[in-house]
Amino acid sequence: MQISLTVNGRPYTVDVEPRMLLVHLLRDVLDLTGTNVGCDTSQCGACTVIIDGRAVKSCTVLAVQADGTDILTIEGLAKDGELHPLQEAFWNNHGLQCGYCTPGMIMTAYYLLQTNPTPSEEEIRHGLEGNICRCTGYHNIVRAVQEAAQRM
Amino acid sequence: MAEKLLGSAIRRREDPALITGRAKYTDDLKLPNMAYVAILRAVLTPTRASPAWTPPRPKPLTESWPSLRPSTWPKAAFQAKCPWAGSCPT
Repeated sequence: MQISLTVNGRPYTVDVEPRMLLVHLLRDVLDLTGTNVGCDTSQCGACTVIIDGRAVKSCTVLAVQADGTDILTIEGLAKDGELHPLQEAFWNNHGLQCGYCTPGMIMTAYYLLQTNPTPSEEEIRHGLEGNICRCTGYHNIVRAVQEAAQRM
Repeated sequence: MAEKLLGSAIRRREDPALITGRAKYTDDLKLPNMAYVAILRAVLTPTRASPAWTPPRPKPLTESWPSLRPSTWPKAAFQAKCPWAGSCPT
């Protein structure tokens, strides 16, 4: 099936199998491998991207369902070589170790700060509930989101 | 004046790639003629995949990538992975 969508500001028209997941379209067809597959069961959140302004786990969406949408992935966050405040804040606060969950964490945090620019610590922890990190214990991720909220 | 190094947190050099999606994990590798392998294991823990039964032969990607069956595995490699110390079917 032919679908058209915009990813990180760039328009694409691609032929996809009806059963293809959005995350595989992004990774295998569009070669945007920054979005990771962590669990294959929609629990870990590593594949989170922004679809039409909302954070979505891209392994729960068929590529054909994304027809006509505007998608933002981790590759599209930095502008003109300038890191996004969330990326800076994750770097500054040691909000990652292996980095595998980080693209999903950052995209979910991006959506959180779009909807709630000044979240409390509890609201940040609640907002990131769908994203699993096995390295950091979450404390530094929360600190990173707090710093980004101040800078944005 | 030099920045205090000892006792202070430093920004990791590997982070820029990790926070921008440029980092490459094993799953991101693409090599010429790369193929994927799926391994069918026994469905129940105490059972063994019987050599008398082989899964339906999937269509090979190309003639040079046939599907493998237990009978075609190198014996030494199979026994090295056998948790029952040699009593696995060959």
